[in-house]
Amino acid sequence: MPQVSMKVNGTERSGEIEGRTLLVEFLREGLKLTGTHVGCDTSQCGACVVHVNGKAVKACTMFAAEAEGAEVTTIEGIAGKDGTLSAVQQAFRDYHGLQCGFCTPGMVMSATALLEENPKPTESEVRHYLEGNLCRCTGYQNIVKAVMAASGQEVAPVAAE
Amino acid sequence: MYAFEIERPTELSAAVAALKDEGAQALGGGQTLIPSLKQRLAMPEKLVSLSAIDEIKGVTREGDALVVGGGATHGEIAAAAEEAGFRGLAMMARQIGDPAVRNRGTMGGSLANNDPSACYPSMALATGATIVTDRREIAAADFFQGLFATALEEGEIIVRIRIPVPAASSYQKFAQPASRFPLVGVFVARTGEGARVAVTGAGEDGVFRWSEAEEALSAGWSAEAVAGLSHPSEGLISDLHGTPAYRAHLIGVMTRRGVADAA
Amino acid sequence: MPKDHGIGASSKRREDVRFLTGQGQYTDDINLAGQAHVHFLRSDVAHGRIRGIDTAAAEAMPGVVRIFTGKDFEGIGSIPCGWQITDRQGNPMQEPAHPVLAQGKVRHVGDPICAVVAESRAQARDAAEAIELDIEALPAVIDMKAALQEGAPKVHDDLKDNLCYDWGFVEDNREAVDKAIREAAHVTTLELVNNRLVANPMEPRVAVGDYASHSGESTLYTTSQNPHVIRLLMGAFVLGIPEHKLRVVAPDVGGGFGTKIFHYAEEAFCTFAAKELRRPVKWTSTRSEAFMSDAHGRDHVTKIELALDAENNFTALRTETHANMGAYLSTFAPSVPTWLHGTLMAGNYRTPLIYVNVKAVFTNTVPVDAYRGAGRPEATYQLERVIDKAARELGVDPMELRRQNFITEFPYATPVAVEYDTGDYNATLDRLKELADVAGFEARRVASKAKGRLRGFGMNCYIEACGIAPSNLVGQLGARAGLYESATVRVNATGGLVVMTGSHSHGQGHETTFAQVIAEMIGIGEDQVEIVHGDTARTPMGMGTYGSRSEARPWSVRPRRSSTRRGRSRPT
Ligand SMILES: Cc1cc2nc3c(=O)[nH]c(=O)nc-3n(C[C@H](O)[C@H](O)[C@H](O)COP(=O)(O)OP(=O)(O)OC[C@H]3O[C@@H](n4cnc5c(N)ncnc54)[C@H](O)[C@@H]3O)c2cc1C
Ligand code: FES
Ligand code: FES
Repeated sequence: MPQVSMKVNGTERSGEIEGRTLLVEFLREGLKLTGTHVGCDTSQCGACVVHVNGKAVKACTMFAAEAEGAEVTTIEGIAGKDGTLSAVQQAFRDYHGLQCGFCTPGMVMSATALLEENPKPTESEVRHYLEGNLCRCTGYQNIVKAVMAASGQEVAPVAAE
Repeated sequence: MYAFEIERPTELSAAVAALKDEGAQALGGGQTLIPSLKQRLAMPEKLVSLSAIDEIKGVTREGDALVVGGGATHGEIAAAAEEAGFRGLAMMARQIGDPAVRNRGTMGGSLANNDPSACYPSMALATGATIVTDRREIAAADFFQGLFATALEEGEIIVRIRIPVPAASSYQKFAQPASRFPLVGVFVARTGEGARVAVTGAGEDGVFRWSEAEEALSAGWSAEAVAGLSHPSEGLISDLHGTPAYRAHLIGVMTRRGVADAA
Repeated sequence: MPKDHGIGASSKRREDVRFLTGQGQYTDDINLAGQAHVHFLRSDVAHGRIRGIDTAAAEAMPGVVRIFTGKDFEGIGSIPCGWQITDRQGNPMQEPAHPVLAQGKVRHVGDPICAVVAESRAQARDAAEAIELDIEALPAVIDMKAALQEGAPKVHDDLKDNLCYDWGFVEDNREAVDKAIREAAHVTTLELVNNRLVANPMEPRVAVGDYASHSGESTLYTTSQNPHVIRLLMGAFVLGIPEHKLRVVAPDVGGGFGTKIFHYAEEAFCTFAAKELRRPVKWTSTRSEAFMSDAHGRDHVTKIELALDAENNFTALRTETHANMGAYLSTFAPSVPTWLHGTLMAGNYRTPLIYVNVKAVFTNTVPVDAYRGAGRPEATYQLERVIDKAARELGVDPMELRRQNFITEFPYATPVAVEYDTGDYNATLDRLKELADVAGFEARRVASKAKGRLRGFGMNCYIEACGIAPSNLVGQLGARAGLYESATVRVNATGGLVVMTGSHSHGQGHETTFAQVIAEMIGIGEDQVEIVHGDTARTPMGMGTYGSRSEARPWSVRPRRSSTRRGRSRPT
């Protein structure tokens, strides 16, 4: 079987793959990084979003072989080494931007990529950027709030407060 | 997915050679091919990934034309078109799929696939783009040959697309809410050879030009010039999402919006 | 000052940290040593007779462990239905067998025919394609009314017809309702389709079966809203495994929306095959597969008639609903258009006479069961739509027509079995008018129109019945298990409490909210309370989370028990 090597969350990792092994399968099954989720088979839900060489991609729509030599960041690599949540993670928690948590890793990865490209997005830019990330639980409202808050912008408080 | 091998050449010539093998298929950004492999709709023995070939990447300006690499991603194209003041293409590229799809999907892959609902074919047809492959140049007018059919030969690779930048252009997409592909998309362009209106998502034979609107607009570029026109519903797609009459109506609306936007 | 802990405090959810850092444990994250994978070969016709299955070529494919067919499940129990409806004549509903793998016939697109177990998921799917199926396609029946016609294709050959039940509620009111409608000053009639839908939680369903030869114990890890219900249905009715030899674990669950309540064939298969093969067996659904294998929601076609007197008082209401059951009876399916639906037809109104008729129908479609509200939103939708239509026909303000018919005296016994203890609908409506600035609407409408936009105004009232309990009541209504809840509170020797509950979160945040309640009742810090759920081995009894019951049921257990500090609670 062919081998693949890539840097995942800062550590060199390698493993055996088939031609048809998807990046998400390599991460979840090969490296036991199960934070990246699979919610569909049509590349539409975004639960699997990771960063490859700094860009958000759907790990279910890229072969592991194509990540040879790449730098990959998954949800497991977002918080600080001491467990400190990133600004995006903290804002999701503060603004109740998640319920079941299944879409959450993909949401956080997309939102993180957005703020790297565009540190002060408007609300409509946030919504447009997150178009490929589906959430069935929250209704998006609090997710958008969380991303706005993570970018340091004013947000109306959550309803419960 | 059925089992297959993957090769990842770094030279175009190596890719062309690899594609000569029986059962070999090109892999662009994979944003169409991978989902169809998952549904087991394709059975390649070998995929030849084009993602490591630098010579088919990037977007450059050459005189009046924008030259887009066959392997340039939608995201790169949106940024480059914006910078080149090519409004219609910038609008189009930044509305394809979502950011993650745009970071992988390529113009070469989209044109080669020629999905009847893909966005780029309307732009290529309206601007009179030239598709440059590893062996020849093909005018857009000759390139699209019906649903999922193109002039490409077995193993032929789209290396770049030369697009004359129109004086004014706009792309109006009415998205199907679930897939976000256009239910109807209209690209309007004011070019040296007159007005061009190309329609995607609607035709039973794929992308087409709406000549009646082009004539009206060539006489005078304004939304009023096409206000009274309606596209016939014959030959338009009928499916779960819309009747031919509905699509015909949308063609009119989207065309008027496009012309107003590109004024 | 807002509280900073306990009931009413806006506590940050404790489960969020693991979800936000990728440390959540969902069923698909579980991989057991030596595990094999199953792929289900499903029917691609809606109705067909299985004439032959040839697995020889498939069995020779790389990685194949074993291929199971319906034959392997002869003598194994049928997937049970948890609720029995009694029809207008007092007879039990017609109840077909529901084998784990199809036997003799396939009855909907997606009906599983073969289960291919292989070393990898891809190999299992590769081999499934090599199975030769000889299936004679039969005429299929999809439309409910067509299914009830003489000579319609029968979904189940051994049943009398495609009518599961014909339910009348309250049957004794039938004639009085008919008479009131005949004699009414005005009758508004409306036909409504409440379309079928697919629940689609973001997490697709997964099942992992395991078997410990040394103890004879089976374990099922599954994406379930209620692991204890699965233990009961699968253990007692399908596989015959006693409760103490069957453990069902539902770890973090990525949304449910009702469709993860039910016991499914894939769960029984993985548990069964793990024992047969003496190795763990895992199934992960794809999204596309979920459309054919997860119970759907709604699918009602209703005719509703509202009778009014000359002063616009509601005098009677009659509904006739056709409810699609699909090809088999899913766990709670029969209860949805009946008890969860008919009992809400009074809404907020003083309608003295109500009659609800429901015909549940078998068709060659994916089974339909509870989905978000389950029968209750359908009731509200029908009632409120017909009131709006009546207001339009009579030329009166829809809000005032409602107000005029509001129940104002409590307690109020509705003609559909339930009693409302309290309420003040006028006050709510007044507040709504104020908040929505109803008085200013016309000006907003005109302003929008000037901008080429259309602005509309819609409102509706609703009464929702939550909790689905207590056990002795639901038992009388046909539930085949008590809908109690339990909790065990254990005080650790080193301090701190562990609360084990049978209610199970699939996104609701039980770990946080339950800890808040317990902390407040006992008077200790939230961080000293650990909530355990989702594992039948750690929580002896429970019924899970659905029907908005987790607040109503378990909470009513927990505070009472914890305030006595007695530890063990009894089911109520
Ligand atoms: C969620 C989602 C939403 C989408 N929305 C839209 C949308 O709104 N509008 C739209 O137009 N598209 C949309 N797409 C499709 C997307 O644009 C794809 O990127 C594109 O259609 C295919 O390009 P690719 O590079 O990914 O090609 P691939 O998927 O890799 O390949 C597609 C086909 O082209 C061939 N091919 C690839 N590259 C070349 C080349 N250089 N030369 C010759 N042949 C080649 C392949 O062999 C294959 O047959 C969407 C996709 C997804 C997943
Ligand atoms: S898993 Fe749904 S887009 Fe990747
Ligand atoms: S939190 Fe459940 S899908 Fe988004």
